[in-house]
Amino acid sequence: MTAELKVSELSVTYGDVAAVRIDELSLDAGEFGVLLGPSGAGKTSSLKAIAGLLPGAAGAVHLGGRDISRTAPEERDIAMCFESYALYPHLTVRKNLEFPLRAPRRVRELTAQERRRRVDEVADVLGLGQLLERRPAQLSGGQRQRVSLGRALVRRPTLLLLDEPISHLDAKLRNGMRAELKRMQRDMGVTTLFATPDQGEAFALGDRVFVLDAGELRQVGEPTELYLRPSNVRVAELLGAPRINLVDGEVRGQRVTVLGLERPAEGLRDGPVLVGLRPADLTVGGHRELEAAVVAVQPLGNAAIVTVKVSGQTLRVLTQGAFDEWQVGDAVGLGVRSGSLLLFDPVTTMCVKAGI
Amino acid sequence: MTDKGPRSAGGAWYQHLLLAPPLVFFAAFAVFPLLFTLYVSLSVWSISGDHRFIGFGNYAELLTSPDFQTTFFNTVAFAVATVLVEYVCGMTAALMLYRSRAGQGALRLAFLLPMMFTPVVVGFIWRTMFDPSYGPVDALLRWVGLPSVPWLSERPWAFAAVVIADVWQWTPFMFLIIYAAMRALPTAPLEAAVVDGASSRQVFWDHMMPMLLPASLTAILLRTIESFKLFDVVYLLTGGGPGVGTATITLSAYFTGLRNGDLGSAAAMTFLLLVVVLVVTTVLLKVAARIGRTKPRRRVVELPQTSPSEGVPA
Amino acid sequence: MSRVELRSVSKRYPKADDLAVKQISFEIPDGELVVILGPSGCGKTTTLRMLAGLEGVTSGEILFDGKPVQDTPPAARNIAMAFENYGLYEQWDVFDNIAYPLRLRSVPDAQIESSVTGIASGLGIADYLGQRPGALSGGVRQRIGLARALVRDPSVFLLDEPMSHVDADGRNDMRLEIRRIHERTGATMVIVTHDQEDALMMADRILIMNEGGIEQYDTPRQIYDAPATAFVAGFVGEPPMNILSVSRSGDSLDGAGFAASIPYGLDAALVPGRQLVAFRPHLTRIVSGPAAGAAGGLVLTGQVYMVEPFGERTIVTVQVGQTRVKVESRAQESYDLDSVVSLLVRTEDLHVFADPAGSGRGERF
Repeated sequence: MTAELKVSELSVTYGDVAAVRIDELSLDAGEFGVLLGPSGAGKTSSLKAIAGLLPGAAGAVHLGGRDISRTAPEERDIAMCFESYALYPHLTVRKNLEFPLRAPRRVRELTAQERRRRVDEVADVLGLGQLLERRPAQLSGGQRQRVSLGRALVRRPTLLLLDEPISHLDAKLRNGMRAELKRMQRDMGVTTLFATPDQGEAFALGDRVFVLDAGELRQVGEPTELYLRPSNVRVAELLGAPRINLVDGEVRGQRVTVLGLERPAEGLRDGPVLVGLRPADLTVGGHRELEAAVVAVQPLGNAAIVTVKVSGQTLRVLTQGAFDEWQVGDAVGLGVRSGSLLLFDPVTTMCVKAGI
Repeated sequence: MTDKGPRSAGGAWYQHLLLAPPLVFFAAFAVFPLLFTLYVSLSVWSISGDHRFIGFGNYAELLTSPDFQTTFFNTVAFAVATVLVEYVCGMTAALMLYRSRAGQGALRLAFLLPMMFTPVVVGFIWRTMFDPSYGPVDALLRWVGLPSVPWLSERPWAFAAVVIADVWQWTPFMFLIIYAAMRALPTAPLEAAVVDGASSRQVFWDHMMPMLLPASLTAILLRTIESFKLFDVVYLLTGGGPGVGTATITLSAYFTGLRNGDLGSAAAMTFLLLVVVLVVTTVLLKVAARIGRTKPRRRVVELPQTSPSEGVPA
Repeated sequence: MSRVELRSVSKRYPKADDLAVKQISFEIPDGELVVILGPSGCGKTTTLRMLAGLEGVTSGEILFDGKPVQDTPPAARNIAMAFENYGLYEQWDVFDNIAYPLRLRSVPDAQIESSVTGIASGLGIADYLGQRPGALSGGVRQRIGLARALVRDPSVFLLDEPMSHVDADGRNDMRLEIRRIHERTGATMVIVTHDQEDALMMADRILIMNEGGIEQYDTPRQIYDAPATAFVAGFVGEPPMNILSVSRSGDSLDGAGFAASIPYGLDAALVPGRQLVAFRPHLTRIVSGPAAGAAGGLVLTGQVYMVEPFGERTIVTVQVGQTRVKVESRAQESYDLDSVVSLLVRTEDLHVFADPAGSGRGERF
C-alpha cells in the first residue's frame, strides 16, 4: 500500500544553526524521489525529520493525506535505511529481517507463519535466500546492504527513506545494486525518497530530483530537465560530471559574446553574464570555431577529460574515443555544440537563458 | 515532528520526584557523615562518652604538634614519591609490552599480578621480604657484599621500604591505564615519524608522550588521591615507626581515634587531609586543562612572493 | 630519483595460513608513476608498506637503484610516504609538522624556514602554517601530509589511497595535482588505490593485483584495450565489462538461459567447452528490428531490465537469460521496461578468456 508524501515548512535547527529549511517537498504515490546534495547539505537531517527521529524539527508531514507530524516514529509506517546499515550483529539474517515484524504494534497483526512467509518473500526478491542463516559479520558489504534494505521492505511501508545506502560499496557493486534498487522500487511501487551526494546516481535513479544545498531546495524536477535547464548556477554546478565550466561573457544588442564566440540572445538586456558550458558539450580537434591549447589530458578508458586554455580561461572538455591523441601544449580547435549554452545572471545567479 | 511540550525542563514535577531516592541516599551516606565528622572535629569527643564543643581547639593543637607535622610531611612525601616512581615504572612496563613481539599475554598477566593482592597480604609479603634475619632482600645484599640495611627499624630505610612495597603493588594500575591508552594511539603519526627518520626514542618523546598526556594525567590524578590515604602497607610494615617516622595521617588518625579514644583529634586530622587532597586535585585538574589548550608556537608567517625552488629572498 | 625493483617478494603474516603477497616481481623505471590497483585485501597496501620498510619481507628482494633495501629501516631508504589517514602530528602546528623530517636531520633553521614555506606555498597551504592541524579541513590536512613528505625531496614517493577521503568534486582536481607534483619533482611515485578511475587518470603504468598476485602490469591504454585476464577485464572500466560465461556447442555459444550464434571470425579464438566472452558496454549497441545477422558480430536477445539516464550518457541494463548485460550510449535514449531488444557487439570488440574457476590467462581476439 503506497501513498503520496507531502512535507511542508520543514525546518531543522541544531542549537542556533538552521540546518534545513524546506518549504515544500512532495512525492506522488509510488514515485522515486532523490534528494541530491553535497555532504553537509542537510540530507540526513531532512530524512530523519520526516521519519520523526528529530524532536527538534518543525513542520508538517502528510502521508496519504494523513497528518503524521505529531505521530511517534514507530507509528508512522515509514521505513528508513541508514548509511551504515545498522544491522543487528548478534542476529542471523533471517532474524534481522524478521525483527521489524515483531515490533509490539505489529505482533498482533501477523502470525509466526505469516512473518516467515514475508521474510522469505523479501529474501527472494533481494537474492538473500542462501544467506538467511548467516550473521552480518559473515556477509560482504553488498550483502549487508541488501539485508538492510530487506529489513526496511519487509514491513511493506508506505514510505521508504534511504540515506546513501550504497555509498560505501565499491564501484562495481554499486553499479549493480543501483539498477537492482531501481527495478525493485518499480516492482514494489513504494514511495521512496533516496538521499545521495552523487549526481550520477541521482540521475540514474530518480523520477524526480530535489536539489538540496545548505539546507534549502534549489530546484526540483526531472533529471533531464534539471540537467538541460538548471534554474541557477548552484544547480548547474551540482549536476554533471565533470563540473560545468563557468565563464564570463557579455550581452550586447541581444547577442552574447563569450571566449570569442557569438550567439544570439534574444530578450536579454545588455550587461555582463555568466556562461555555463558543459564539458560534454565541448569538442576538441580539427577545425573548430575557437583555438585552444591543451593543458592536461586525463584518460578515462573510452573517454578523456581534456583541460584546455582558451582566451585566458581554463575549460574542461569531456571527449569520446581515443585518449592519446593530444599532448600537453598542442594547439587544438575547440567547438561548442549549438544549443548548449546556459546563461546566468552574475548577481542573482539565476538562469536567464538556456539552450542557445 | 513533536512540538516543545512536556519534554522541556521545568515542566513535570514527577521528574524531580523520581530523582529523590538517589538524592536521599547521597544525603544519608555522604553528606551527613561529612558534616558529622566536621562537628566531631570541632569538639572533644571521646569514646567513653565525654562530648563537648570546643571550636578549633583540636586543630590548633594538631598544627602546632611536631608529631602531626611529621605525619603530614610523611603523607605528602609518600604520595609524591610513590606516584612518581609508579608512573615511571608503569610507563616503562607499558612501553616494553607495546614493543614486544611475542609472549604478550603472559607478560601482561605478570605485570598485573601485584595489583591483585589485597593490601594486607602485600604488607605481610614485604614485611617478610625486609625481615633482618630471614628476609631475602638482606640475604641478597650480603651475598653481593653490601652491608645489610635496617629496613624496618630506621627512618630513611623504613620510608624506602614502604615506598617499595606500595610501588610494587600499584604500578600495575598505572601500567594498565597507560598501556590501554598506548594501544589506542593512532598508528599513522607514529609510522610517519619512523618514515621521517625518527629513532625509537624520538618517536616516544616527540609523539607518544604528548599523545599519552590525557591518560597520564588521569592515572596520576587517580593514584594521587589514593596514595594520600596510605594505611595498610605502613601499618603492617612498620606500624608507623620508628615512633611516627613513617606514620601517615590516616594511620595516626586510626591510632588517635580508635586506640587512644580521642575521636575529636582524629576527626580533625582526617578533615585536614581532606582539605589537602581537594587542593591537590584542583591543582592537577587545572594543569590538565591548561595542557589541553596550549597555543601554537609560531605566528602565521608572511610569505614573500617567491617560487618554491627559489627559497626565501635575503 | 630511483629505480625500484621487486624480485619474488612474498609476505606472510604471523599465524596466517596464506601468503598476503605471493612472490611478486616487477620493476619501476626511474621517475615513473605507477599505480597499484586492486580490490580490498589483494595485497596492494602490504606491498606499499614493504616498499616503505614498515613491513618486513618474508622472502625476496627489494632493490632501489640496484641496491637491496629490504633489510634497511625506513629512515635510511630516502623514501617519503603519504598515509591514508594523513598521520599528522596533532600536537604541533603545521609548520612544525612539515619541518619535522628536516629537524630530525639537523638541517639549519634558516634552510628549514625556506624549504617549509616554499613547499607550503607550492601546495597552497602557506596561510595555515601557524595553526594546529586539528581544526583544518580534510583537503588542507591532506596537503600537509603531502608537504611533509615532499619537503625532503625523496627519491621514491609512496602514496596510500590518497583519494579515499576526497569527495567526488575534488577527486579530479586532486588527481591533476598529484600528476603536477610528479612532474615537478620527477620522483618515482607509487600510488595504491582501489578506484580504477584514479589509476586510469594518473598512472604511467598500472599494476593490477588480486589475491596477492599480479594480474597485469601495463600502460592504462593497454589495460583498458587488452586486459590480460578476466579479472582485469571486469575490474577496469566504468561500467565494467560485461563478462558472459558460455560453452561452445556446435555452431552456437550457450550461456545461462540464452544462446547465440558464433559470429564469423570468432571461431579461431574459441576453445571447446566453457570460456568467457567479454565486451565493453560502450561498444555494445541496441539494435531494433530483426537481428543484424551473425556476420557482423555477436547478437544477444533480452529484455530491458532498467534504464539509467546519466546526463552525459545512458546505461541500459538488459536481462539476457540469467545474466544482466549493460549497454552504454551517449544518446539520451529511453526504452520501455521489459521490452524485447537485440544487442550487437562487433567481433573485433570481443575478448575471450579461458574459463576460470577464478581468473585465467586469456587471449584477446
